Amino acid sequence: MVHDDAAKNIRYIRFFVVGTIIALFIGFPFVCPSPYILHILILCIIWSIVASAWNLILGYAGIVSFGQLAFFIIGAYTVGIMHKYFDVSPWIGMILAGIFPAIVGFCLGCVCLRLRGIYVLLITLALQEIVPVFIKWQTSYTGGAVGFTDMPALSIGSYSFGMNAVPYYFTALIIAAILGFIIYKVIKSSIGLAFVALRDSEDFAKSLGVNEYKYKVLVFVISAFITGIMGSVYGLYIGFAAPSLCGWEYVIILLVAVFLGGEGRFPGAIIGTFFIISANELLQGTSELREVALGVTIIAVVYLLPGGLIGVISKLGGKITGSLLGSRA
Amino acid sequence: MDFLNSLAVTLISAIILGTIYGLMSLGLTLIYGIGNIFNFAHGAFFIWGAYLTWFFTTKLHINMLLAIILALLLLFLFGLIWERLALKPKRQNFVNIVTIGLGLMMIMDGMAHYCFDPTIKALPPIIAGNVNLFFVTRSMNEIVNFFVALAILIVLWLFFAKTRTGMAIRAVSEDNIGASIIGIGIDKIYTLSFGIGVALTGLSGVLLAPQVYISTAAGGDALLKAIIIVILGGLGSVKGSMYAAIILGIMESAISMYVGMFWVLPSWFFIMLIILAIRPRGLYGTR
Repeated sequence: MVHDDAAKNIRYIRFFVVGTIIALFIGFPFVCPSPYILHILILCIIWSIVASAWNLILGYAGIVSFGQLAFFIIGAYTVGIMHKYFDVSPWIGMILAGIFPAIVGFCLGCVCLRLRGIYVLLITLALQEIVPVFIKWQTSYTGGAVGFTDMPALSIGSYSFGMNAVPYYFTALIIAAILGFIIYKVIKSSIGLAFVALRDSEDFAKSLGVNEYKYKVLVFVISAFITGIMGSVYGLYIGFAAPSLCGWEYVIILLVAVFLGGEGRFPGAIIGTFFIISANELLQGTSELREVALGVTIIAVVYLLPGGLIGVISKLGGKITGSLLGSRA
Repeated sequence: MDFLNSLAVTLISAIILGTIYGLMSLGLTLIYGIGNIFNFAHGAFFIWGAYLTWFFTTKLHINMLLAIILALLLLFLFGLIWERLALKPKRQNFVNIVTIGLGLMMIMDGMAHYCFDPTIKALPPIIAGNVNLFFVTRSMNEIVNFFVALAILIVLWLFFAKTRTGMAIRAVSEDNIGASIIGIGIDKIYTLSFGIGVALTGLSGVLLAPQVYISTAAGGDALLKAIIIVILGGLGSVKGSMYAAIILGIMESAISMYVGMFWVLPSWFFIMLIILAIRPRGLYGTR
């Protein structure tokens, strides 16, 4: 059977590609110990999962939410405050940092996900603007506008991570791999299928009993959970959390990552993030013009690359690569 | 007498705040109401109106009124060109429109920093001085704004009710397919209405500049407040957003008087959520 052989080959190729990528990531800090490059790589890993979580709700579920950074910042503050005032270990704090944004996401999702897209957009946007206001207000707990500086240092047993980037790199990598796998599984599960059905034929899917609202709330909560955990990893690594994290700059970086990678295509957001974060780091220091460049980039991506880099790759590489990377579920 | 005094202070500041917020949200709600386009760069246009006027008056020493007209004309032309070139091809795709708007906002903010260094600018009020109203002294500019806002609403109403173009815009906003069948060039109407909306946003920036000061942060603030007003009033309904502006103005002045300044924005947010839970389309929303 030719067909079976082809399927088997694709599976082998996929296995090989994924294995190579994992090996590269694990081996990288031993080959290139430059702390600066490791720093950029850690940022890429963290933001790529946030972008993927956003892509999950924006690209798959069709929820036009702009509140992703609110969940991120809540996660970052949760882990710090939990350690400082309740003496919770940062490892447990990380899980709490997922749970709190998930609760916020649940409350907000229940109110707004029945509404039309534009309302969801505006409400989540308002959330993202309100969270820094709260943080600046509760100065005694959060450090106010200056930021929260008492982040705990991660440690395993008696080994403290301290200022060394390598253990943080592996922590971020492992957590990102787990969360990325969760996102992948959500896309491949019945939840992902429900969204495909809703996208392809909304009326038919609804008549078969697909509860759009329920699935939307569910996926919104999952996305908030994942983003919150990544926020705590970011806070622990940087050792600092500030309300300015909720700024437009990060929103647009994430948005560029999602669109550049390919909206609604799973590994797309990860590839997009690695591009934009590296580019952004290279352009540090030219602040006004970097803003302009980001704006121009996002508009250019919308016009020139409607399918994202994944679209280009699947076009170039033909069917095999397409089925490897462009798994538009 | 003490109670009466504080009530008078609250009421007068409520009216003044209501005027500010009504002006802030006018352009946003108009653009959405006609073309279903959410103008993310609203805050950027808001401050660019003020920046341009500041530039013309202080750097080029042009007469204030002329400077305002020139600034609004520039914004209007930019709005026309931008709608035609950037928004028109993607008008059907809501996410793309939002994204392009966000990109434009970044570009305009960055350019504002680049062209007019990031220090806060102040625009002189159109009429300086203070007035004594009952128990309170307010600046003349706030009173002027109230009447200018009224005048703008009357002019807009006349424009939409009496002129051919105005009626065509209303027809397109109600039913664009029907409008195109009876021979209205809907592309032209969309472009024109975007230009008008942008110019109005710029005008509100000029009028409010003496009160809010000119910086990109003020633009972000204007965007957030306009968004909440527009949601509360119902997207695209000018009447609704005017009522919402008055309600929020009363709330803000009462809360900052009796509870504390901090609670203003969170209370807006919660009021918005409550109203949306009861009326998912806002107070006067139809779509």
